[in-house]
Amino acid sequence: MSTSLPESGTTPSQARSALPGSHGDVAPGDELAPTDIPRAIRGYLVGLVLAALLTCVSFYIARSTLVWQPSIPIALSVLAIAQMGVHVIFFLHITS
Amino acid sequence: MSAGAPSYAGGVAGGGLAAIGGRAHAAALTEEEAHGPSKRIVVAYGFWIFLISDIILFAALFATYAVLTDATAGGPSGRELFHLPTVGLETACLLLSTVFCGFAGIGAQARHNALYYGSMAMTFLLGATFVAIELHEFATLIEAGAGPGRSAFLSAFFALIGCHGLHVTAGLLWLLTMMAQVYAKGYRADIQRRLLCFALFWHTLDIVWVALFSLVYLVGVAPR
Repeated sequence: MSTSLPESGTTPSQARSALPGSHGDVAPGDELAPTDIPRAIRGYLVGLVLAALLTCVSFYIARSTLVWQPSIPIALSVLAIAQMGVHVIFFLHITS
Repeated sequence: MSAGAPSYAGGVAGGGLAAIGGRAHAAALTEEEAHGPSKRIVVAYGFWIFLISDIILFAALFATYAVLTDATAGGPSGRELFHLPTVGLETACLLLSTVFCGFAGIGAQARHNALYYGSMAMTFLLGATFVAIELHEFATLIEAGAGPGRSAFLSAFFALIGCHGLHVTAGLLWLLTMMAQVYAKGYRADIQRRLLCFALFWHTLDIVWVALFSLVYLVGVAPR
């Protein structure tokens, strides 16, 4: 899955074994070099855009005739689960 | 620990792969795998267990609400009560707040004071705005005679939304103590672990809100 992880070509175990200060990983709680800040922020902004998009679609279809009416609750559930996935990957960093 | 008996030693840290390789890969064991998972990983793992138990609490309230949605006792239903622009505003506040919470985490990891304190302040302001809007919504409902005592539907509604609101309020207090702790003690390893837990808590509250605005408010007003 694509996250804000560095594309440094290291395997996960190499990233884990990285000593503090080598900045091989941006998982929450690890050390971070000031130069890594923009890239880490970009990850959250991607999550924000995706979540905002899914939210807007949810609010739109709830009151429109775009979706067959009896299926609206299911469509809203699917959109909610998709947005939870966005949160879990981009904000909670479940993949790192 | 030796590579001969590694079955649980590296479990949380994901050291299982090295364990499968057995003795042949013993030399490749990392520091973390040799001494068990780091304290940060253990703390985060324990906090995840708390968060999941909290999600089970919300699931119970959700199930209660789902069962009682139509039990309006002749009173108003969600279709008449819910005001979507208000819900949209609440959603925007909480989503932006969770992103700023992420920025604060980056600021703490990079020991960047302006980013940390500024983002925490924005997280607090947006979270407090969310709580204020919700309290206003509750006050409006109660004033209109649609308080938690009106019907089983409204009891379940106030319990579910109110429980989330209480969590956010508690999170706001936690946020202030984290700002004070960093101010007083600096970016120490134990403070960083507490910040990690706070961030997990705050992001989880936004995930719960996604379920709330989708399944309570939007499904509540959707035509059927």
